Amino acid sequence: MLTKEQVLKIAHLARLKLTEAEVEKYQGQLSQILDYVAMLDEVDVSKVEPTAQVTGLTNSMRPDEAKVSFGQSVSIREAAATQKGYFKVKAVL
Amino acid sequence: MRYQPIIGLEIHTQLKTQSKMFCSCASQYFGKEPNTQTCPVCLGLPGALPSINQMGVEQTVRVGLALGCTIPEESKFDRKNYFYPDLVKGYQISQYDMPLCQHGYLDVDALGKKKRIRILRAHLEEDTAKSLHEKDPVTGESYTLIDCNKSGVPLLEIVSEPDLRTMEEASAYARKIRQIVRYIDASDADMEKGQLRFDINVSIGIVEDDEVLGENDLPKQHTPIVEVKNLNSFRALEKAVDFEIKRQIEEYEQTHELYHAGNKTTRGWDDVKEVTVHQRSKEEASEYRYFPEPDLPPLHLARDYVEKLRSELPMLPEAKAKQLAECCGLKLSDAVLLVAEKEDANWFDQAATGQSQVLVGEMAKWLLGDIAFFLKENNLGVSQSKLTPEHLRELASLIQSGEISGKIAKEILPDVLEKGLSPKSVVESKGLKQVSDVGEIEKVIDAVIAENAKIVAQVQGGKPEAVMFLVGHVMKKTRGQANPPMVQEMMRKKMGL
Ligand SMILES: [Zn+2]
Repeated sequence: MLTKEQVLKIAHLARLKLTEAEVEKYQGQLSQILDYVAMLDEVDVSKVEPTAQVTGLTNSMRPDEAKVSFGQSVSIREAAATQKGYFKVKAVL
Repeated sequence: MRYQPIIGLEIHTQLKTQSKMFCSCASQYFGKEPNTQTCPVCLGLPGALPSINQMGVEQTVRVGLALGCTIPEESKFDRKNYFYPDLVKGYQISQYDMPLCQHGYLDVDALGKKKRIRILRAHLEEDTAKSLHEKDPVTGESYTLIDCNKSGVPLLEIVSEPDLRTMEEASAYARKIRQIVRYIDASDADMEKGQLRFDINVSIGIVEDDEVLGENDLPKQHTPIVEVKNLNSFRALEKAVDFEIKRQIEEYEQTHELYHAGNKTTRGWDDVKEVTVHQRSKEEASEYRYFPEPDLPPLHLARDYVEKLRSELPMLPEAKAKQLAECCGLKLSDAVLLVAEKEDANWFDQAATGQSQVLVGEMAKWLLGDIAFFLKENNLGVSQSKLTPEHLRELASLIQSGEISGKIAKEILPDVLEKGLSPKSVVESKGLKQVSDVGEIEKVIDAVIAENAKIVAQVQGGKPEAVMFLVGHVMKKTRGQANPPMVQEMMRKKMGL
């Protein structure tokens, strides 16, 4: 089972604030997910080449040509807050 | 016990392409209205599919080859996950364990010593959005504005081994990287536009008296590693390295804390106060939760493709300087200066190609002397000035053929440099042509002899050195236009010397 510290660390990386009750809840739930995925450990992969891809494609590239993009009004249309054509967010340092 | 600074550099440089790394938006964003060069991919909208810009890969491989790197046959992209407002997708497409370039090196000159700096890797990633930090003048509320035109611009990260030991080495290394990426046209590396940025990793080795270290060996013990991020000028880089060395030695003397896994920290650079400031504990690699980018198939770099790129690389500055020094009989240190910038090197090539060693030497002398002084005053490279290669060649020929003296050359330089006039035309319009006509010079010599009977007597009476006085008079009478060696020779003959 994941410790409280581990859950808090994951929450921090995800920039989530969790209540005490939620920490306990996720201790259980996240551990279950890990256990579920860990079932894959039982498969014998000693004769399988590691891969990150199953499409069989390589070198799928496009030529370096610039195309017309969204205009500004479309780009920022769905944003919660904007200013002078920019996305506006909380202060970051 | 002694202290030994240990420095590693991560250099980010924006690659020169028309379009962004993983979408077709234009990559030249400087001066553009915010969020006008964006699309679902670089805005991080759900469901958008990235695609690899072939030129971004090519430019990366070219830089790698120029830095002596190995280009592995297999490479891939990975996702680096972290949350920050300038990273709209919540992850950056980067390269984790299979970068395009590995194990290169760069030889640098610093403090009169040559040193080989090993390069661990160079990998291709995407730039983040631009953020502007604002404060509402009325409410005093601080906020940040985000412009995604810069999101997704191809960015090359070049990571050195911690082989740098002094601020001077770090600076020389960074400058040479910039020179090379500019030379091979992989990046403009314009620092004022933020196209080249540095992160430094600094710690202080605590070297015991009986510890023997080779040039690139690390001391057994060192202080916690500090990363200073986002330095965007050479000056900031130098100041920050200096500051961290001093600060860490002081801190160590107080705390005696040594490096162990988990005590790396990140600091920012305050350009105004010229100090580094603590930011946050650095995220360890595992915290970025790297995983293979599922939307981008892996890359296979065919050997003949890599070799083709290698053969097409232009000559690098070091080789170019050597070639110039050898072919034209120049001092290597002079040649290094002449080829420092690619445009200037090409400019000089145009002036020097096919010319005699003597003429090239004369051109180099002026270019590095009076002309360099003028250019520096006006903050120009020779290729941006009004001086043309043809005019430099003309100037050198005029001097070499004896048509004008060095003194006259200096006199006409302002017109040549500021107005872009041909040296010949300035000489003619000002009537400054050097007099090399025997008959004309003889006339003046005779006049001077007639007017200075006393000195003539001295010369002939056993004080031959006084002849120079007579020569001086001839030069004065001709307003410096007489050919000095000719005057001297003729005067000596007349005096029977
Ligand atoms: Zn885009």
